[in-house]
Amino acid sequence: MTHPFNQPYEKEEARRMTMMKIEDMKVLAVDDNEAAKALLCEMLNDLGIEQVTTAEDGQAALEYLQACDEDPDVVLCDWNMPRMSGMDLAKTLQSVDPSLPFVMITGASAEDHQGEAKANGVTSFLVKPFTKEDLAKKLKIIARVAGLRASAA
Amino acid sequence: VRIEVDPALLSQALINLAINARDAMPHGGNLEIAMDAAEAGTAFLNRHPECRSGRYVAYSVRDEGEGMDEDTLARVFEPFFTTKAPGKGTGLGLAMVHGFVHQSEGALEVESEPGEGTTFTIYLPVAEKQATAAAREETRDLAARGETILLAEDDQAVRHLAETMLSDLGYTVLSAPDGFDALEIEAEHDGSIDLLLTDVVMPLLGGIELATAFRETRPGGKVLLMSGYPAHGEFKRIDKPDNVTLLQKPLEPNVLARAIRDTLDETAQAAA
Repeated sequence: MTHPFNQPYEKEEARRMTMMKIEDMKVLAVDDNEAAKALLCEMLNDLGIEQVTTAEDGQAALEYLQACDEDPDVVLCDWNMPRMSGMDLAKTLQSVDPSLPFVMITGASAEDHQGEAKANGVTSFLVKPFTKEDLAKKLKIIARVAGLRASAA
Repeated sequence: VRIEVDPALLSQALINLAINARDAMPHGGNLEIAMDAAEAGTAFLNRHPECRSGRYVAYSVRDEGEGMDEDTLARVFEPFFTTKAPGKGTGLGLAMVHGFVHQSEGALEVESEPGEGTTFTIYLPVAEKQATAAAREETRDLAARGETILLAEDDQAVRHLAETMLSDLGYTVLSAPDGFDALEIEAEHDGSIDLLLTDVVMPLLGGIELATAFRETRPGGKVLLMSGYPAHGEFKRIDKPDNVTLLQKPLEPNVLARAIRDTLDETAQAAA
């Protein structure tokens, strides 16, 4: 098989390869704060994303992921939560499914810990406060990565 | 041009000459330090039979002071000879200059007229070694020409090393700790990115998939892969595209610089 990388640049194919629409994404939103979770869900709905599952902390998210038939395309997760923190969830998921994109929602003060978080399986960060556009940009990159991984497999 | 001398001694020699020039102008005046290219002609070689022919660099220090008469001029390079008042100079300044110049296979000349000021000139031979010239050419050759490089490497030590190497060469470096961040930086960066330098094995998004994405959005962009895994043979672990160079880690500064330059220049040629 020819390596996709060796093929000449073809716009149509490139588009098809990377055009997993964010509207089609399945999202798992994890936050113990009801208001923050509601705001996140509202943003997702505004972006046309309807397949949203929520969990109130890391433990609940893990239980959902173990039971669900189909993995989400991305986990959006708050850092500080009771029972199981975002970091602990990321660590656990990294050992189970390192290819599941994990976006940590953090305050600006957590930037110093980004390196450590990355090493523990966090894919990327959304720093509060973030806009719907910031969220959309992040999800587009996630979608693109999924497309690239699918075409390389 | 290039000369091979002890830089500390050269600067000391120039300082000594400048001090003398200052002292020769107690009422003020212009002190001029100049550097020029010179060719050793017959007259020069007659005056300095120990010198070789060829090119020289001439450093001159000129003052507008009292100047020197012929007697003073004749003794000017003698150690401990000084016209300065006791306690004002050791008489060793010019002797040091003379010693340095002699050691460097150069020549020292002085021109002076009473009332007209004095000019000391140090001639130092140009280093004509072919290898030196080639190395110099190479260094100039390897420098950046305003290009921007996107660097993706998950090993922090390697990433920081590569950042330093590339910055030293003059490249603008956009640095990412993995493929995902690299893709995000690429998407956010409005300016041009001329080359992607990426590790192959990275979590979630590897270098080869990253390169595919990079080429989709920046069709003219060049790619250079790097890996600790060999590209060929028994231990081959990487399905590397044929038309891309794979650099072996650990990175050698010169090899990296050369590979980047070659890859970038390929673009220019193809576009020309």
